[in-house]
Amino acid sequence: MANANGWGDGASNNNIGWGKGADNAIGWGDIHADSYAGLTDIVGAPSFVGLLDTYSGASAAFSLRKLRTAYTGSAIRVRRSSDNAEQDFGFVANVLDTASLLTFCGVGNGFVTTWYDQSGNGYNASTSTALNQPQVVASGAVIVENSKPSVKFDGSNDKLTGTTITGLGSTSFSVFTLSSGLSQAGTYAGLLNIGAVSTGMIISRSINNTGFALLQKNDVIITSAGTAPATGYLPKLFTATKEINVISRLFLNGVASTTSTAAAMIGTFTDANFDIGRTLSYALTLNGNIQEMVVYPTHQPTNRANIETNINTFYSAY
Amino acid sequence: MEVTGYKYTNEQDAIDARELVDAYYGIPVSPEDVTQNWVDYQTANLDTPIFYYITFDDSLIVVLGQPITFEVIIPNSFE
Repeated sequence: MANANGWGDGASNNNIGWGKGADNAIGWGDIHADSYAGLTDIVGAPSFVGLLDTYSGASAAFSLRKLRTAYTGSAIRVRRSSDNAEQDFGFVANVLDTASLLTFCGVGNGFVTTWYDQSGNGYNASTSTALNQPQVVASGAVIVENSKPSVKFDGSNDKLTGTTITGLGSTSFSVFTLSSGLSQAGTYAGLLNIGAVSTGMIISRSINNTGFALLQKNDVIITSAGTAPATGYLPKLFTATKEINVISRLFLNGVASTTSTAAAMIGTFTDANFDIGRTLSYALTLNGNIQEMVVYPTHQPTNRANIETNINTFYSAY
Repeated sequence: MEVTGYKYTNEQDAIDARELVDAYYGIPVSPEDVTQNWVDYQTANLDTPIFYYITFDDSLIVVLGQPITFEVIIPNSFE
């Protein structure tokens, strides 16, 4: 017998039939397209949550994966070797759009002119000099480490520069850097450099001490000898934190290392432009790769380990 | 620190050398591009007298010729 409920009565003679379902607030339209809990949720695909969604408040953040849901900009700008043309490249499925990058570069090389800051603060790192640009595509292949795209600094002249991260010198900080090293000689090769060593702050590879270093105002702490061999090393997550006027700490692959309470190491430093890949006072650029660098204006007493886990879960460094 | 490259006693000579290299490599492709120079020069401002230099790269030989080696004073607080 036909009635106002249509399919429901015809199919099962109950009150929860198709017709009634389509007419109420939880109809097909809501489930497929209009509701937040859309089709992808129904079939179990995970929704994206970036590092900076969970652990917000970064001063600057550089990566080849997407770090924040609301970030709509590109990951990098690349100059190709064939004709020196440039183009921005963003993300597909929240990682670098390598397909478009390879189409652009062809069988040649690609060099990073700009590594965009995903924090929202606009501290993009770039260089206008071709020979100073680190490399992301080599002979038609994306440079990777642990199967993830990576930016290669040549140890000769590569560096990317950004404007002063306002206020970082007068507050606590934490810097998370995932990097690798190739064979290199010298002293301190830059990961993140802010100003001169006598007045600023440097996070670097300590080549002659075979470790990672945090330098501030002519003082330094270094991870254990052998943790970053001069002959080279695979990607490692180096974390440097400073609780202002209390203590500076180093962590390597999530494990606590050297600390210092020396005045020079825990006090303020003078804000200045920053370089990724080069130490200013030592005129030494990294011979190695960087995949991610995140700077927070806090020493992350609660979230440091979780941030390291987040980075390692993606990059499988250790 | 010993540097291999090209040394200039006045800044205009270094600028001219940079422009020669830019012209050879067709840089910049567009005024809106980030890349505006193929190579840049540096200032040895701790030396007396001050001089200017371009650090060697293989790509420069075709334009600037064979490099030389020379000393540059680099501030180096400690090792």
